[in-house]
Amino acid sequence: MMEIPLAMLPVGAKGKITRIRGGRGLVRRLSDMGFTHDAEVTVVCSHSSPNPGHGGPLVVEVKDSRIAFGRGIAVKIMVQEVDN
Amino acid sequence: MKAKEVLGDDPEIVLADKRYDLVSNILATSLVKGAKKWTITDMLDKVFIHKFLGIPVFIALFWAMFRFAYDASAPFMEIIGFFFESLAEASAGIPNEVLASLIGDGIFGGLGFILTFIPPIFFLFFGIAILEDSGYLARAAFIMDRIMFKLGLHGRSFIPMLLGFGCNIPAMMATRSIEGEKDRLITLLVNPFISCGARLPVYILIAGAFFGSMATTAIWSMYFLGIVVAILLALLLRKTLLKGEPAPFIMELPLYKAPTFYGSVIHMWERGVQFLKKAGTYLLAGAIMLWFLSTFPWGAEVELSYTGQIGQALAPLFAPLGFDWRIVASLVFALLAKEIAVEALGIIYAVEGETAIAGALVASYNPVIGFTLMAFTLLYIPCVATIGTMKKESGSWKWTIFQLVLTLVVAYVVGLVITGIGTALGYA
Amino acid sequence: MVYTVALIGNPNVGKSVIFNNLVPGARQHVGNWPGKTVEKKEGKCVHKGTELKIVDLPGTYSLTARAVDELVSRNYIVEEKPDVVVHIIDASNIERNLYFTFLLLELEANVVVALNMFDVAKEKGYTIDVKQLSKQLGVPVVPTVATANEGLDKLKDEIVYAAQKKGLVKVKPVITYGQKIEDVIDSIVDIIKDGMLAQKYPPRWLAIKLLENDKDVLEKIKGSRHHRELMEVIS
Repeated sequence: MMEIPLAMLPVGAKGKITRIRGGRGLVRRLSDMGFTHDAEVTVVCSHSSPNPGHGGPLVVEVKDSRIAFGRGIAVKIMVQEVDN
Repeated sequence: MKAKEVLGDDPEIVLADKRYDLVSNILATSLVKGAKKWTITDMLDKVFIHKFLGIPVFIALFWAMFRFAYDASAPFMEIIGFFFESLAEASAGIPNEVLASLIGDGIFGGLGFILTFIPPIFFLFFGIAILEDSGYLARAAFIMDRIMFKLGLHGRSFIPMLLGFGCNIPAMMATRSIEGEKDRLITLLVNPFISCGARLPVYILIAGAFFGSMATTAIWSMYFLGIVVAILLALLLRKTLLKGEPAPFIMELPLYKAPTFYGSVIHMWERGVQFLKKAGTYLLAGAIMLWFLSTFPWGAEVELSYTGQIGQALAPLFAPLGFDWRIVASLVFALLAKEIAVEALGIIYAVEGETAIAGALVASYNPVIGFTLMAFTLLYIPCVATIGTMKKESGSWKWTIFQLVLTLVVAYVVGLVITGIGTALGYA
Repeated sequence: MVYTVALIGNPNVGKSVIFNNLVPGARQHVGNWPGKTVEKKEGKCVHKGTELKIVDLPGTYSLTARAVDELVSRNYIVEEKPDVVVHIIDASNIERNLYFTFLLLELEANVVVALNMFDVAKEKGYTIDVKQLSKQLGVPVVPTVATANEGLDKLKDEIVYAAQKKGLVKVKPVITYGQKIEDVIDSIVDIIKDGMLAQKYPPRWLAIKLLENDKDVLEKIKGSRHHRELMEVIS
């Protein structure tokens, strides 16, 4: 199954994290917030736009909590889509 | 044996993953999750963070909050004002003339007037606390992030900016939650442009004097002006002195929950106390200093008092804005606490009570100068307590002084623009 | 005898509600951690005759060296060695919160877990076996609903009990990282175990942080005579 950036998942879709492309600081920070390998992520809300770069922030549910972050980060989190 | 062989290039991640594995194992035996329930949070977030619907909700909630703060505080302001007026009158009976003046005019009079503005600040903080405890404030920051990012700011800067409408001091302290150093610094630097509660008495006085039925509009325009200037300057700083990408915005959105009265009072109190402690000392010192500099040399005319002398020395610098020595002198005092400007004007014109001061103003100046003065009060050097806070939060004299100069220059330039436009339109 | 009790946890877990419950407003003292802009809140409280000094540590998601507030909390625990560290957990968000508990256990803190927002967890449909959880973690776990004042007396009881018991029972590491990694950790612990560093900081924790290339710990070992040896192992 292909891995795609979290930013591309539509609202309501679920994904399993395969890896996070980014500096150590970001990866560790995300990991502290619950974004670890194999963690399941559900997209709650997306303000993304077709523009690359910071199109809009996202809200996802991961490990029982709701986290919001910018699209700049969402494109760095790679996931495999999971069927509901 | 080398660590790299065993842990690879990202040891932190390897170890973190193992910890989470252990967490899963433990939870496997101690936690049972029921079927996923549709919670209130899910329902509310469908609307509150909706791309389009979220915005009118945002505007409505904050509008309601500001209205609540100012309406609810009005009766308290009356009570405090009355209380201190009575005290001031009572102290007229003190036998020693100088002491009577110090206590009556200086302390009770000056301080009393200043303290009447505590209720709006506290009520505003209470409103913010309710929004915060309910969980909505995080959503507001989320909505604002999209816009703020374009302006070179961080979604997290939203809350300190919001607090600035009450008082810049707790607002600047709240920047501690902002992660990027540059983001934090920009938020600190432009925060004083947000119109704090202390400037309101000055607007009310001047707008009431000059603009009659348009007074409320004039006052609102100051709030608007402050926001616009803060945004423009943030953008400018981001493009020039503090270049770089804003730090990544990651924020948890807690579950919505009903705020408790007690909990919100505590939050309100924490922030309000920051204002009271820092600003309070300066306010008292300021009131006494104002009294001293205007009352001495004893018995002299106001022009010849120390206050007058200071004003007259600096006046030529402000001639292009139409400010005479009286306005300049009151602006100097307002450095201690912006509310003091009103009191200072009263002393300088040797009149008492707002109506009288307003009358004196109208008699001496035209509406353009009035409006310029409002804008100048909004934008120029922040009060001493704020300067102190800036030094503490930024940890640097360099940036504190930069802020002093920046605010003064911006105020002057905007003042010139207003004077120019106003005169051209024929209001002078 | 006054026991120091530190409160710690993620943001939004109800830590300040618990703090305000333990230390009424008037008795709270707010200042700054020396040299930092991070706020320090503390106060005294008396429970059944025992005096407790409560220190409210900043709410953070982790204990890395990357953020000032995290570092302040971490250094406080490792250097001041409070008698008890109360980890306040959001029961409805337990997975992520437990990660933090492990960080605390690695710091060899004397942990008592307050499983707060227990009502929210129930609403979410969670059933938590508190006894089992406590057994697996090796520390007392007290379910609480701080906003309704539930469980707080029991929490205070457990705090006092834990404070009295501190140091009497040697805590064995709850987390093991697998044979290979444990071997590397042991080799580091061997190097430092007789020196100054091991007296000041828990050796196992120090070893793990070194493996993580923790900036602050790397600074701390600079003065040690084992410095070069340690750098050899971790690079």
